[in-house]
Amino acid sequence: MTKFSESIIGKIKCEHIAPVPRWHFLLKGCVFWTLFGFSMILGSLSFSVIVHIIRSGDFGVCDHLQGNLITSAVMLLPYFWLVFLALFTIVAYINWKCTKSGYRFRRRWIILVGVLLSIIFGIIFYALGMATRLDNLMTKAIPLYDISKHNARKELWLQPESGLLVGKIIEIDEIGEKIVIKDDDGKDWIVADRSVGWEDDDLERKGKIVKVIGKKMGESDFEASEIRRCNNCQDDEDMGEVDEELAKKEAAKNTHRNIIIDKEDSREK
Amino acid sequence: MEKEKESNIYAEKTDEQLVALTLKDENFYAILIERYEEKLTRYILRISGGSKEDVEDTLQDVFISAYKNLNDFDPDLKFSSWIYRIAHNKVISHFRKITARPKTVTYEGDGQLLNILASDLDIARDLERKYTGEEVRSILEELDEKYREVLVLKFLEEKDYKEISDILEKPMGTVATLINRAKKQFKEKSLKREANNKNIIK
Repeated sequence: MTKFSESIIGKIKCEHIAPVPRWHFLLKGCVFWTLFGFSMILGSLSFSVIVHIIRSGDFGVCDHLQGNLITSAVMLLPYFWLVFLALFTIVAYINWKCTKSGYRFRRRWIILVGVLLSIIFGIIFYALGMATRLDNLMTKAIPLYDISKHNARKELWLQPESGLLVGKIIEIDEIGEKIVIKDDDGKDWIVADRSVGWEDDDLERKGKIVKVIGKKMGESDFEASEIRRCNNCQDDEDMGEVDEELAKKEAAKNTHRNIIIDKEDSREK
Repeated sequence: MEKEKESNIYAEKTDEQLVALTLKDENFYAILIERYEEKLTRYILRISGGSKEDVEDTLQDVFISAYKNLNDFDPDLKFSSWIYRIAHNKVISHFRKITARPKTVTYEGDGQLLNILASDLDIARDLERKYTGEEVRSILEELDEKYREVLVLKFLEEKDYKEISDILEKPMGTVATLINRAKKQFKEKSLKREANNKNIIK
């Protein structure tokens, strides 16, 4: 034994230094891998909501809008989720780097593979319907998210002059081929839907939020040429907030006939 | 005689086998310390530029820290890479905090290896003359720390790319880039030095 090795062994014995148990390192490794996996799942969920928002069809209305197409497209980008995707990719990258073999790969490859995995799993999550559920959950749980989504939807779709309208169906007149929808400002619109093929029968129901493309015909009249499902909107069914009593009262107050009578009254006055 | 025979048996064991033995009995650690004491002292001196006392303190820390973390040793790595990594990290935490300290990097007895470095860089051919160990040493001292360290590991510690990657915890591609840049910087500095020397002679 050399003098130096003797002094080290002496110190180890004297100070009762012992190797840190193996489970400690295994646990540390597990924590980083779990955080990495968790970040990847959250990143994938963010991507699935991005797909959900893009697939909601809003990008297709750019040609209905006046002004710059790029400005409209930029306005429609789901920034909140893009920020989340970037954030979780960075967190995944940091955790990957903290794993034992993390240093062996270049930053650009880790990030690229992270984003690609988020895309693949995001598409799978979207196909499983998790994006809609997450979007609904966020809308319920975070008022700020709900407000910003509401505002974005209103800004884009509540432009009757440009032929765009969004609102909740509060009355359906199948004989007259009209529906009454309440827009985000609380205004009721009588929408003629005679020349419109509905996306599916399930959509033509009270409480559903729909997007209407068409032409403004009067103060509260609208001629629809297309009625779309509002994929990223939370209607009464999604929110699970159908209050039968309240719905009846609202319906009685806002029936198609009452609205027409109200309009005639105001004209007479 | 019996004891000597026994110690010879253990001296033939690989580092990895000695790690396993150390976990059962700390006395086996002495063999590992003896194997790496000189190599690590030289390495720490080469990259830190600290005094002999500082280097000794760091070395002690390296061995104590390695002992504490023996269960974290990954058998996929060479033990030498693992302990060099600990030394590298200790040097960073010990010496680089003290920025004001004047640094004199030591390359004692490295004359031959320094010439290998110079010949690998093709500098000798470019300058039509051989560099002295002293000149190479002084150029090395002028290099950025990150470049000096990879050159030390590659040419003085004679580590391959995989080992350097494991020691510095950088991808192999990054190590290759660092070595290329370090060579380039070394070459630039030596050419500059050569031009200055010519001007002085004129």
